[in-house]
Amino acid sequence: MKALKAYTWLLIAALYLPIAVIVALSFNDSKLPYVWGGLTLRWYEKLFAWGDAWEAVFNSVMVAVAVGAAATFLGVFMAYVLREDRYLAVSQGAMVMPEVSEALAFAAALWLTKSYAGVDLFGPVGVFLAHLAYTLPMAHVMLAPYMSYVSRTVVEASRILGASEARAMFLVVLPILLPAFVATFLIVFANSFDTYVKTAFTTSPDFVTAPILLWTYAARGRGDPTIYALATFMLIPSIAAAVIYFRAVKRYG
Amino acid sequence: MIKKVALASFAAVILLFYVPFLALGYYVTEGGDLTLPPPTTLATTFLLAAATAVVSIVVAYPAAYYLAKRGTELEFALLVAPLWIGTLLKAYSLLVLFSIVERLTGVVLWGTAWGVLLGMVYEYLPYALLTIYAAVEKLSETPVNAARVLGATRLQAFLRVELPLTMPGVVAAFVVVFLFAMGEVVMPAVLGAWKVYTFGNYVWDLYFKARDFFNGSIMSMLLAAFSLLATYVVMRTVRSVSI
Repeated sequence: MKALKAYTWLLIAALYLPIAVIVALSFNDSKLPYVWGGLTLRWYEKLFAWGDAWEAVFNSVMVAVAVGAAATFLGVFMAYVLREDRYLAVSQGAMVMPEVSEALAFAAALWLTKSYAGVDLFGPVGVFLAHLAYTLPMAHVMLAPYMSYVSRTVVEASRILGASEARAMFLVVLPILLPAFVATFLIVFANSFDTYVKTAFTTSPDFVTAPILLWTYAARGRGDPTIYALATFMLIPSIAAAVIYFRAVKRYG
Repeated sequence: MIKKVALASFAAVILLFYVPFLALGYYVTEGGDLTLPPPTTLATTFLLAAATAVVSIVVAYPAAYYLAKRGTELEFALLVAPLWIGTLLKAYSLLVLFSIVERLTGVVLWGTAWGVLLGMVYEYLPYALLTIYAAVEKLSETPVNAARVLGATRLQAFLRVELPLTMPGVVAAFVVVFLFAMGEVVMPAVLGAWKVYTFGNYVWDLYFKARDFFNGSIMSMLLAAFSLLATYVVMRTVRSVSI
């Protein structure tokens, strides 16, 4: 078991090495990745002075908040109503769909609405819908196990006492599910914030999100430390989501 | 009301995946020609995906076994957390790491299949780990103890009792990772420098370079159908595949 423990920690170290390198390089006072020139904050100053980056991060946050809220609310409804295994199986199937297929299906759908209905949804709306479509099954699958904490008797009691369906949902079911709800929201947020492929297929040239910006520069200028600072910045939602998720899950014991 | 909203969103999710069928209709009515990707692309995709699945399982198994038996919450959290870091960020940080490795040791990883394989294993390792973890966690101690009492060594007890019992988990891990890897776009594009060309990149190019929705739709439909079939098979054999 000792050898296995050492192996596990080695694996953890390997998993975090590339990210640690990026974070370290964002503080490196040298333009070359393999030369250490001392600590500096100038790449962050450059990043904060870079208007496109602000706009891209802002766009990403807006989409991620909207997607997180919509997917989590609809996910709670789905987990509450569609409890049977077969519904969950469909959602699980949708989750392991290849990324390109989903993205392309969406691009095709947007293209069809554009050419037959004359409504151009490419841009923020398209990105929102595409992200929602792939995070919704995820929210459903993630919230489903916690539905067992909501007992039928509690819901029935509130209904008998005169609560409407919506009232029972928001005042009884949601408070019980709150930790799982928050955790799911954060994970959906982090996922939407980071997604590149689905965004690339459904956005318009004037709607740039943080991953799109990273792609534009990652493809060419891989030596620019401002991008390291941007990448480090983009890690924050993922780390926050992970930390809060594990805390929230613990509350259910 | 809640039920209607839930059913409507569920229906929307399912409907979305039928959109490519429109493309099929387009071909049935002789609307265009079907261009298939070259066999080498298919071979690259298949080999890369299979290799990713095998390597991920081999690397993840000992850690998953340890986690299920003695692991702490912190170790579990640290191993699973990389799931929530975006693919592009991982690809980009590996790209930088590769350039440092190349400079220091002379080993070229950027633009080679090995580099792409490394990137894909990095990306999908947590999935393999979680799936195997779920299988090992369900093991009861009784059969192992029985084997030990009957004279098996620790290694024998593991190889002949525990490993066969966790095989469904290993198969599930293989299928999950294989499926994700079959549709991979970002890793071959960033780390393979478009020299390692996969099915995902082909679909990508059809859309971004040729603006060809219909061919791309049919290709992606084939990929999706294959995925759904494999998921169904896994669901039949092992109950829960995801976290």
